[in-house]
Amino acid sequence: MMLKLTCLIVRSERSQVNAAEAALSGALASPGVVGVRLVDAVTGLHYAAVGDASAVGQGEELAETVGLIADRLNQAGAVGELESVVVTSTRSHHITQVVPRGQDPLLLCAAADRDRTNLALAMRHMADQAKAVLT
Amino acid sequence: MSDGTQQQPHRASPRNVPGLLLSLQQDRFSGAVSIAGSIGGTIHLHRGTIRAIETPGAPTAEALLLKSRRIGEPEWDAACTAAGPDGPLDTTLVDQGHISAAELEIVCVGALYDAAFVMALSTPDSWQVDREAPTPRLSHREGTDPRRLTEETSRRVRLLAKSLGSVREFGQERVRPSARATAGIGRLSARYRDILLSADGRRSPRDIAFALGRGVYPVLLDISRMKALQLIHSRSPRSLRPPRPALRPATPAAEPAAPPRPPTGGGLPRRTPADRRPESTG
Amino acid sequence: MTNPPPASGASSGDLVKELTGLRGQVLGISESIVATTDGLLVASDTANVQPESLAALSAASLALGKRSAAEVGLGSLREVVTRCNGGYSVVLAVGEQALLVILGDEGLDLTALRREAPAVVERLGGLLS
Repeated sequence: MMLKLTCLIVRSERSQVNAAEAALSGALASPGVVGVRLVDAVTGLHYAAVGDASAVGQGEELAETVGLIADRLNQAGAVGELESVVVTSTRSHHITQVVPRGQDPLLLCAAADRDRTNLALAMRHMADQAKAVLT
Repeated sequence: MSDGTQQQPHRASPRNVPGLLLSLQQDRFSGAVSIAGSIGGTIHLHRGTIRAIETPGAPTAEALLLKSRRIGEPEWDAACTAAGPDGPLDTTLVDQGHISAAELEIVCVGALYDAAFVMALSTPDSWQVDREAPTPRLSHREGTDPRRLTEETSRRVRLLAKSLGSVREFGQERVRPSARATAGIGRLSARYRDILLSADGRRSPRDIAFALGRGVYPVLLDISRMKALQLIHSRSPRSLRPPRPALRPATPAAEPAAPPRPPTGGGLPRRTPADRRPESTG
Repeated sequence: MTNPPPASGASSGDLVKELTGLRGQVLGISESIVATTDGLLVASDTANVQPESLAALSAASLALGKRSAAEVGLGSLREVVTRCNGGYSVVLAVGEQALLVILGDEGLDLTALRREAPAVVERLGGLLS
């Protein structure tokens, strides 16, 4: 509750509300998730972020990585469009959820502390967030 | 000038547009800057931040939404009518449930960056400031920071130059699918497939972007990847250069028989009662 | 694509070269044709549109434009611009007996078109006379 109040105070000090950022307001609700970033899946252009965005990585790198993975999988014969990518290191999970839309898709990317995160729950949460972010 | 415009036909060097934007930011300038060049355009600012950029080189937010059919024409026209010619089209689109505020904002931001990128491929000749110019109906309300915009624009040009060489020159080339692409088109991702279907040999990457309702920069990114995958050919439009003024005689073997010359002179085909053809319904 | 026989003294190729040349000079031009004021196709640089239909419709459009301009006393007609959600159609007279039709996408650079078209119109007129 205290954290929410602080966010509201901070937001009212800004001159204008960023609609994309407002759409991410629920993104940090999953235990262990420390930062969430919303970027363009093709260009990597940053649209919004909440929490520790630096932990999530730069938009261009995220887009390039996801694009490479999609291309390679396609060349290997995989059918269908890429939905999500999870990269796990010793200390963190990095979850990328593709957000389809009328234009080029977006990427909703989260960084989560590994020892505080239930990966299945976090992925479920990110999938739900991806559906909600543009509605 | 009393009408609010300032004529500053200033000889600009390529790096001056970012400098101009930074000084306008310091002045918290509101209004428009029209830039003349091979790819010119108009930058709309509000209190020093950038709300929209219009250029023939890249689709506007409006063009993106309509061409990609994200918003259907009947819905669009209804929203325009409801909002009125000077009214808040963006709020109306959101209120009528056609698109969320977040998604609309994202489209406007994307279009703005795309326009800046395309304009950066040409050398500006001069610019003109107009405080009274109206902002386009769809714009980035919060405003984009000019420094972030110019940094990202430079990054994009550098990145593409690695794979395409002169981005400006490549941007003018006409692209076509390779034989390999045509053979395997069914297996490719939807985005690559759409580009290949749109690459008819007449279209530049900019034309393809407009045809698909996508940004020019993302289309160029996809094309550069497709080039590496040998899915696409490109050729420079030498055949599109303006022709020499001298006439060349027609070669009789190549042309079918000319129609009988009408007595009034001139060599244009003329309708006669005998050959009046029905209008095609196509 | 087949073009009807052009004026003698100029090849169909010369006319088409003017059209493709203009397309290379102005951003946003997708297709173009030359037609008679009667609605007959003379030359085309097209890919998707039916050039014969376009010729007939554009001749009617130009005729209507000329008639309207005369009716309201606005002087000679310069161009007929049809602006749609998805692009533009611009019809320009070429002399008294022909016309040039340019189809463009949403980003058609009308300013550049108005700058480049007069020279092309003049050369087309020369080729057709």
